[in-house]
Amino acid sequence: MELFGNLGIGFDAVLTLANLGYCFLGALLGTLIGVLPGLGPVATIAMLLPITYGLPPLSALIMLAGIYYGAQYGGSTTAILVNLPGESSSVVTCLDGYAMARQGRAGVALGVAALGSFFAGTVATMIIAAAASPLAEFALKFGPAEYFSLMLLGLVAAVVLAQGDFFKALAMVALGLVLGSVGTDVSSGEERFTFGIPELADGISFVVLSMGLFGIAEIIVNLEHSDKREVFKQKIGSLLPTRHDLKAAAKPALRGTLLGSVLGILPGGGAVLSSFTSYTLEKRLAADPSRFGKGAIEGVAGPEAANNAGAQTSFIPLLVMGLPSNAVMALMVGAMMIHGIVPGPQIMSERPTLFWGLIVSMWIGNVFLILLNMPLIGIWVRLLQVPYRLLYPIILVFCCVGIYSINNSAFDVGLALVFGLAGYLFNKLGCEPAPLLLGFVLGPMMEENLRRAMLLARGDATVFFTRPISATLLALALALILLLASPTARKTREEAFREA
Amino acid sequence: MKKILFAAIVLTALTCGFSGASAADYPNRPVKIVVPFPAGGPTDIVARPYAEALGESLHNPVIIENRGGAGGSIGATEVAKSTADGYTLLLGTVGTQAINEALYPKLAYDPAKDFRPVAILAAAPVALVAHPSVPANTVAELATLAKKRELRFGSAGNGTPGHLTGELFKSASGIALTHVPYKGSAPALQDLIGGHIELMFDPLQSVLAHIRAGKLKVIAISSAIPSPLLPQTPTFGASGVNVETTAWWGLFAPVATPDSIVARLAKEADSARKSAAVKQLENIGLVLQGTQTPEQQTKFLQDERAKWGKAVRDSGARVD
Repeated sequence: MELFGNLGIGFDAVLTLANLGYCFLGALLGTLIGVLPGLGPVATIAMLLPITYGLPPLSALIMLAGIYYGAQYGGSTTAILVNLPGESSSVVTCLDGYAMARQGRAGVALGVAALGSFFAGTVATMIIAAAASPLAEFALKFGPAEYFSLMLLGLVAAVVLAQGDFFKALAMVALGLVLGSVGTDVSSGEERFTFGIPELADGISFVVLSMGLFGIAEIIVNLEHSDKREVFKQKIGSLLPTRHDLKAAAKPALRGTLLGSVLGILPGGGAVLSSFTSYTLEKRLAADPSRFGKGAIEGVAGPEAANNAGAQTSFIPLLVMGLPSNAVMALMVGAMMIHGIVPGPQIMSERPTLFWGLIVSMWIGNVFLILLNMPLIGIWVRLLQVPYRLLYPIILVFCCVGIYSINNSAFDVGLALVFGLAGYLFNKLGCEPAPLLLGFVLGPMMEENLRRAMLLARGDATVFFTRPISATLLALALALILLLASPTARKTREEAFREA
Repeated sequence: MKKILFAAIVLTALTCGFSGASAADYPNRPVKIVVPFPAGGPTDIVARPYAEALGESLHNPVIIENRGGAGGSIGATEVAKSTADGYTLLLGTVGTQAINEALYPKLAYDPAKDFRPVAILAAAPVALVAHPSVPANTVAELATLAKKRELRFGSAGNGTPGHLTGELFKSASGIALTHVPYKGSAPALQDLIGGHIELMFDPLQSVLAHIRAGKLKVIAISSAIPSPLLPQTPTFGASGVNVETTAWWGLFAPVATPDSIVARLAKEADSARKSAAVKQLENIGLVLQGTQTPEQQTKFLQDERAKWGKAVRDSGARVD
């Protein structure tokens, strides 16, 4: 078996004390920055780039990759504990994870998230080792028309996913689309909604928007109630998931892993889409969808597995084709170039030790992460007992540091505050911020690809129906809409709304 | 030893008078280089090894601050407005120093009046690459093909060196091509390798690996002489298209920075070219520029502003 031979090369390269050390260091750093709200892997890897000069290329990449997937583990911690999504993919974890925490089941949520992520990471690593090349070829079939249809499907799913009022969800998606259109238009080079402010020329940053809408708004909302604290104190009981919890989480985690592995290889929205899609799927499959948004364990297990699997498989385009699929992967390209390695299709054959070593290190890193995270759960849960008067200022400071570090821009910090106030208003109006964020992320990509597809097809809109992948995705979107409109589905929606 | 050194410094400071004093003890604290683009991008990749080498020769840390946004304009504006003491420098690009002026009508800095060049650090030719299935291997064959069917070329975005080189190429060769802008190099390459578009103009370092792996074929490059990494590939000039461009990166200081400090930095940047880390840049497709006198630099920058300014106006690209 060639695969085992290749994995052997990888294990040989990684199983040195130094490389294991860098792998652990990366995973640890990733967990820490993931837990600190706002401080994301992009800023951290950028800061550490110069340090990696002195390291051998493999060690440098092992450490940087560890920071990335470590941050995916850590990011769910803040999402669950304090409703702060550090990454776009952990927005969904907030929905039910934070609800679980409020019911005193934070430990269970964290445990399920960690175990689900470990399972997903392991499976995704095996997928990379076994099928990286065919998967990369599949991703190449996605042209502008296919991306447009995929994004449309994602947006339809966002409305289906929303809790409560249908029209409010639609309005929030629309608002997200508008906010997403701020900045320089890719197709024409015109600036839109920038009001002559140069800081807005590249659009609003996701971190700024999500920190404001989720984190800061949550703090303002909680300042209204002085008694909420008691909830956490009373029921800190179960720290680890019971067998019953694990059973409920197993299938969603498996489905999430598959979804995430496939969507992760698509550049741009892949990772975000996978967690949202997994959530929608679990809600559809659930016997009682009304539990979602109120602490359903499936709503944590599925998306968490999906986003971690997606994080792993997003290495595929980079490793197989040298094409970075997101900002972190672009930094990895930078790190390789600094060492004089040009990432591209030739890496697998010319530098097998580097290629297979990195893949094996991801699995080892996942083992480190689970060993690191399970014992930490107790500590994280105890953090919830820190009085609000201490916890909130600390969170705010970290949010500001994190936001500032993205672009060294004080303007961004101010903007996050504005979104914080908006988020408070949305809370009072009973509007969910999650559909807004999805519209914000998917909208610009959808528009860009729609216009590009039309440009390439010389204005012929049938291109979306004649290309098979695109047609399939559109058919799925239509099916979702019909499902939403059908009497039974509407009934469940309404029931859910009444209980809410 | 330390005492002698100290005495020497004091002596130099005294003899040089007040204006020289700042240069003699320069630098006595960390120097900041603003990279006006995100970390990990082409500009950042040029900046980091130089910062490393400069830090060693200046005996003070040289820190990179990534200040991205608006095609590099935000970072460039920040440096233009900073104190001209040699502690804040700009890693300027063909974009910030030559293209943006024409592209953004409301630019908050003047590339000629607000900055003085320290050293041009590296350059890269723009390569015209095609999907392997495109039945044309030369510019002449491309011209014939373009008469039969529509050819689309991708670029890293409106107003990038790749896009504008494509526009210059179109007007000089008379070949009809449709421009398809992307958000950065990677998504455009993805579509090119997937065969959704036929051509792309992009700086050599981002397409080199794909050329070597046979995923793309290179038709010609935009520099005056062929690249040592692709000796067989003709230049645009040799293919009968009178276009010569390079994407380049240089170190710039606010205009009021003292001569002595600029001279010191220029000298250290020169010797930095010999460091192993900087030499690595040649392996990925960049060309390390030779030493230029201040006069040569001024002339070079004037020519570049004229060339790219015309390209922007001719293409009708504009951002406001």
